[in-house]
Amino acid sequence: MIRRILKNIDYPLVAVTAALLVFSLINIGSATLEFNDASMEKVQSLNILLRLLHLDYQYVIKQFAWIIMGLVAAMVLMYIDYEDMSKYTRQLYVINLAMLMAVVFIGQTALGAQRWIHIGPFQFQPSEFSKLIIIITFADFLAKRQGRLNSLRELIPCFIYIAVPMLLILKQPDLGTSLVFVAIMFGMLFVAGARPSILVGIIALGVVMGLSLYGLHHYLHTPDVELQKKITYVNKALSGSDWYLRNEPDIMAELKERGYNTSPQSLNKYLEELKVEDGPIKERHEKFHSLTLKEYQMSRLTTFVNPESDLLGSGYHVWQSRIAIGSGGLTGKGLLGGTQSHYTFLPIRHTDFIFSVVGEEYGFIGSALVLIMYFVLLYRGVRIITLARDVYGTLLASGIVSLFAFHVIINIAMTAGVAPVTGIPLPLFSYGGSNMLMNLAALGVLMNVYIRRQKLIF
Amino acid sequence: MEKKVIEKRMKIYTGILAVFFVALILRMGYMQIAQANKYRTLATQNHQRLITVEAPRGEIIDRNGVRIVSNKPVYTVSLVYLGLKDSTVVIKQLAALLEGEATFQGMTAQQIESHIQEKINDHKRLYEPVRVAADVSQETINRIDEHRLELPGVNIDIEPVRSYPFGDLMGEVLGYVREITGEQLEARRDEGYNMGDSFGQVGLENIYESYLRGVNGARQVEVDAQGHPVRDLGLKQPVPGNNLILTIDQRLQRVAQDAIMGQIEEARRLGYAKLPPGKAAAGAAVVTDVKTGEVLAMATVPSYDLNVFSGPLPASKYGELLNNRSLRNHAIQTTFTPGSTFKMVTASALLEEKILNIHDSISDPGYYKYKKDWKPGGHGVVNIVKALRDSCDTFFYQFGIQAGPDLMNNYAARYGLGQPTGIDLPGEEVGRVASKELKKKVWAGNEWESQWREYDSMDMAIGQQETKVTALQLANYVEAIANGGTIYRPHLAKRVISNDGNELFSFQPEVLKKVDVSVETLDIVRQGMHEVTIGGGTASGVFWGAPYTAAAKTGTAEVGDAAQNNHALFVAYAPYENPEIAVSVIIEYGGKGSGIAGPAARKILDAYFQFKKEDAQGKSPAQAAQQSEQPQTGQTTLPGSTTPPAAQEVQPGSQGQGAPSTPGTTPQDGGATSGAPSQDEGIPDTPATGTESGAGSGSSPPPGGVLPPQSGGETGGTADNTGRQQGGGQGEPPAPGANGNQVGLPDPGTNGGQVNTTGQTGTQ
Repeated sequence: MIRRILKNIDYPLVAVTAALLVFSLINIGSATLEFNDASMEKVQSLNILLRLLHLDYQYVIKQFAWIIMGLVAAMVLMYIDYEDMSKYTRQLYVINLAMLMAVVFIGQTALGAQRWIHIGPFQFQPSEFSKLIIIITFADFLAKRQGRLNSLRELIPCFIYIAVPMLLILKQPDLGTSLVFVAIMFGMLFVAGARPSILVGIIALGVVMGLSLYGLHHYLHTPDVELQKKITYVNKALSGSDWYLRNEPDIMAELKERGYNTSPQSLNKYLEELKVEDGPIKERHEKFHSLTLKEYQMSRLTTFVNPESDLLGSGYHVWQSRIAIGSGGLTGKGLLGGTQSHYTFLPIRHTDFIFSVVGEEYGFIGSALVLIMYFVLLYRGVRIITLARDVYGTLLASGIVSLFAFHVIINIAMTAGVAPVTGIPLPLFSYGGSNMLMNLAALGVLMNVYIRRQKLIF
Repeated sequence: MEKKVIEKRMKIYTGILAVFFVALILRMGYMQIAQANKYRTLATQNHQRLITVEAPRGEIIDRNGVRIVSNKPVYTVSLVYLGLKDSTVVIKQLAALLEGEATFQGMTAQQIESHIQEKINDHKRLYEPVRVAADVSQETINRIDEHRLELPGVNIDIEPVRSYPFGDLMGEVLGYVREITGEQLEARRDEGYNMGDSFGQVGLENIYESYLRGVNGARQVEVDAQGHPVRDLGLKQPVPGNNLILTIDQRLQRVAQDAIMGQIEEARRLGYAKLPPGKAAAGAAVVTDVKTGEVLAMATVPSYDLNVFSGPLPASKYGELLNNRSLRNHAIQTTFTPGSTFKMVTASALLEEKILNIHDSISDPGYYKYKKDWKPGGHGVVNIVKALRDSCDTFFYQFGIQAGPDLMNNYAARYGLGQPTGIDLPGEEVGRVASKELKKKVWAGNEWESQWREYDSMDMAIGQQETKVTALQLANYVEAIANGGTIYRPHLAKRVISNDGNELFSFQPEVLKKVDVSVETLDIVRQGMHEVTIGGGTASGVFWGAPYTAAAKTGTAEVGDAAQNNHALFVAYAPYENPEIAVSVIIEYGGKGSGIAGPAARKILDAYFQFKKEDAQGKSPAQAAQQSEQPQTGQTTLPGSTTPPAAQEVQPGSQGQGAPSTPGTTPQDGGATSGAPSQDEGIPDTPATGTESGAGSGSSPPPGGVLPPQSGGETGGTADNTGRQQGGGQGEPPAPGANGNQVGLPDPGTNGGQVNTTGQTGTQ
């Protein structure tokens, strides 16, 4: 059995995965290294092999442990015939929901967004595994609906099937992962034979809705922020430091226009007026956020358009990432040579922004190479989709390829400053245990489909 | 599902993926190839900082090599602004740590916070650190250091600031140094000045700014995202400024300053000075070398400890300095009615124009026409020499009318009165000499008074009327009489020595003009002045027991206020036969020229000859040179710093003048022993002239004080206003720091060259 598995493995896929994993480990070891003295200079004078010895192996070892676990999981999943998985989809779906509910439940007892569950000494991220589970269960769901996906009405059950776990994740809140669900769903629907015009229509509708949401927010947000600023400055002036106020010609002009000066009585009156004006504006702005996305999510999603507008705030990540990648140039600054990385300008650089480290230290050549490796990986995946022996296998493979494709494209676009910052890691590359485990497991499932592509073998 | 369908769909699927990947690769290419340089620059700006290393200013050293102004290192705290996400939090915390620091004079943490915020917002170059506090105490530095991790972007540096080992010695003459103001920065953009640079605001520090200023160095460092220096990339050593060697003798300066302070106190103690409440009397003394025009001492009182400007300067302290007129160089910026010290001008005019000769004499009944002499009963038979000796008003009334205003004005100008001396200090006042035109202007609208009258000539002849001069002009004038008619450009700077010991500049005596008065006339005037100091002369008491010969003239000028105050003036030179130095002393509200101003001059002259003797014995110059190596110790051990032995030796002599040892018969110029203390020299009886001179000699018109460059706001405004009011619209208030009207700035060529070099380095 094992011999057969080994005989039928897609070795190019294994090779490209292994290459990405090794490169990832080097980059994690580099990214987590911070210099706070002149030792960087010493390290840079070493040759590349000796430099490898100076990596921060703490994170590398941790990540390596996760990779081992991931490989074990992948092998287990390769061993089981994927057809057997389809028998347990209901149970898996329920377990998935239960896990996500647990996160929401714990999240309510803890602070803010809660994505983690602690089991003994381990902590893991159910939403990561949820992605794989949803692929396994949705593939079965779609396989049974073969040929009945040609109208909106026939698609609605599919949407609901995905929407339930997705909304639970959105509640965490984890916008990025919920968008992954959308991508997986559309990818699988497309392969499953859903009418393309409907899919395109829905996507177009989504884009239009997104844009109008953005426009509406801008319309509600701007006047509120303006008024809030005025109120803040007037309050500051009343508490003794009128410097801010004096430096705002617009506010000073408005004061004059309304017949006020900068005396406390006058300012108090002005403050009252401002508060009255702001009342309804603030209310509708808050209502917007309570009904849709939170303010911080909104600004995180839109800031990539113009990060310069808030370099020290929401635009900081995007801007520093762009500097890191751009300053890498054609050949990069070399391993451990990235000033953006090692002088800590680049935030969360070993996880979501690991590609910026690649861009900075290996330049265009390095980043293009990584992109090509991912394309090869996806291409091998697409090949598996077409080679699968049955519909379930095809759908399973398409879900996994869509999952990888969305992650890779969105993450790299994000670091390059052309997509919103949504907290989506780079698969097989970013530091993070649950994600690595899930990705390798998913590749195991993909390989499973490939291994069992010919019915006759078993 | 058919294979074909799937294959077709997968082609589309792959196509879509390919489009995305190609787009991403193009994006990478755009950023990493097309825009690589832009991002490289941004990355460099992110992690490299150029930190200015302030160059110490040149030191100021007296003629004997004693350091008068040097530098001391202090801690400064600065903030790197950009690249900080949480700068407001950092500022808040830093403000809390700095609260209670002397720099912020009781400001609350909140006020400090907005003060820092303000500085940061004013800061135009985002990548340069902003200095938020200087002269921070060691304890605060320790606390900031403890919180280093919570204070990203906060730098602690050591920078040199001005230190003045002699405290208040020649405060306003040296001038102070403060951070360059916005306007100054704007005006000197191309000279390489940056925000936070030191700038000599007034006095010698201002005039010799381009020499004293050093070339700032820079340290290029790599920093992490928190602004912590990670490693040094290199240091460009700062070049200290050039040292300025003065003509001033620090010991003599001390004696002069103490003498003026002492005599102001004396005048108050004796009740001569009837000052309005809250008003402090000022005084000045100038000592020059008659052979070169070098200024050996320039005392201006009240003075102040310049060290207050090295650290934080609270508004209250600044206001106090402004109010008591410490921030004014009374030797060149305050004009006084010369009183009888003007009589040498009148005498010169009379003799030169042959209106009289040395043999012509009058019999003085104690009055002429409607004006009384200061001495009831008169001086008997008086010729020109005796007229000077006794300061006989009657004589000058009579011949003053004959001379007339034009002639007297002409001769005053010949001696440089009412004219710029061209000294190397900013903001010199020119003063004025009475004339028909001036009177017309002053009394415009008053038909009677706007005409020149006979009594005006009488007043003018004895140095009243509208004439107003500075102490420096008086010293220059006496110097010219003493040296046979040469007017030198007075100067305080002797040499400029670069940091590596090269002489950059040496100031040679510069003859401004020859006084157009014959030798014979000068001889007669000198004889008269000499007789003032001997026998029955008005200052014979002052010079009683002096081990040298001298020539002098007293002056007691009406203030014209309700309290009938008089300014005390005294000019002298010595020795009489072969003059070396000239001295002028003015004590505002001093009351008696000989009784108050005279002793100050005597102390100065005594000290001069004492020091000369000591130097000749060979102990002082070498000693002084040694001491200049350690100015701190020099301060305490130097002779003449506060109570030198020399000054003690002077004491008995000068006391002898005011004490019973002087016989009551010695006619003094309204002196302490003259028996008629209320009777003042030259007080006219005529009510008309009384009011006139009153209006004319209103108390020391300060035309616009030296404005505070760093306050610039309300305080400056008021000072300006009062200045104009008091000055009666005379002259424009001199802009501080603007030395466009300054003569005596040596060699602009060298200046410019130096400026250029610094300009380049500043922008590097």
